[in-house]
Amino acid sequence: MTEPDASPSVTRIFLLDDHEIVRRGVADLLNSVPDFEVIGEAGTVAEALRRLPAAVPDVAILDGRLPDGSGIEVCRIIREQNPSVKCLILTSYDDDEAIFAAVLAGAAGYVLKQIRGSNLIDAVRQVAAGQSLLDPTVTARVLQRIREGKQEDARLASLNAQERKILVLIAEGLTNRQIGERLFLAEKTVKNNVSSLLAKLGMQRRTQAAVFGANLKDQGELNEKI
Amino acid sequence: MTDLDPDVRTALAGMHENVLQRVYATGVGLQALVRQLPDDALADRLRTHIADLDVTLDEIRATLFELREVLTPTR
Repeated sequence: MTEPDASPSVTRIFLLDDHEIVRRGVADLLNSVPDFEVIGEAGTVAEALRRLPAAVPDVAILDGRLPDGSGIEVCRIIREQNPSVKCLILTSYDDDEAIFAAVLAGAAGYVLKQIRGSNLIDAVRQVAAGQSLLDPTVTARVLQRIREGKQEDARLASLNAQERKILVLIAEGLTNRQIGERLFLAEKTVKNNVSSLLAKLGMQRRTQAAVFGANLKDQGELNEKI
Repeated sequence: MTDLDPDVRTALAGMHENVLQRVYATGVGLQALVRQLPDDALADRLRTHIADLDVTLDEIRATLFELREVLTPTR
């Protein structure tokens, strides 16, 4: 655990997390490293967008999920203004969707909220040195997803109008009963439609359809009026 | 877990999320302390406790993952 002598250049760090207790813990940890300095904090996207540009950190540690948006959004906006700011997305769980979004937003790394080792310290150090923490397999997976995106159109085309509407509502996280209420259908009818929709898309689980639908919506390819 | 009412799942997920954040924050704070402890034996004991917290975090994360279907659309 011995640190090399503090180098003359200090790494300036900005923290965005909606939990004050997490900001305090992380700031304690990072400030215990001689050449690290936490220079600013925020608890919401709005606060971060106000404070971050003026703070000009070397590394911004951004919580993935925030009450008014996500750290991934903040990463994209900040890097448009100042590409020299390295963004590290700190998250409660490693989900493919979020990693995918983080890569596209230009994040330099993605770190799970785990304590072991000096995980976060190493991550900040590497990212500050200009390295990407996104290993090649992650990047490859993202490219794969972009390629699959082309095939998604064909699968979407196989759905009829009602199934498309149901797909939109599944993507919004609604249950069959809620979908029935929105579309004035019996819950049983919705259930049958969901089964045929999953079969057409070649999927087993509702969550797969939800992710598929949400992606298409983000890309503007699924815009059914309900 | 899949039979739970969506509102109950949301409440449970919110609770787990909060617990996860607190355990993580505590662990990270302790990690900061480990780095400053002059006594190696004490530091090692503290590291064992931190490792236990990490196992707890993984367990909470696994439960959150199951509850997540409800959490995700509300982001």
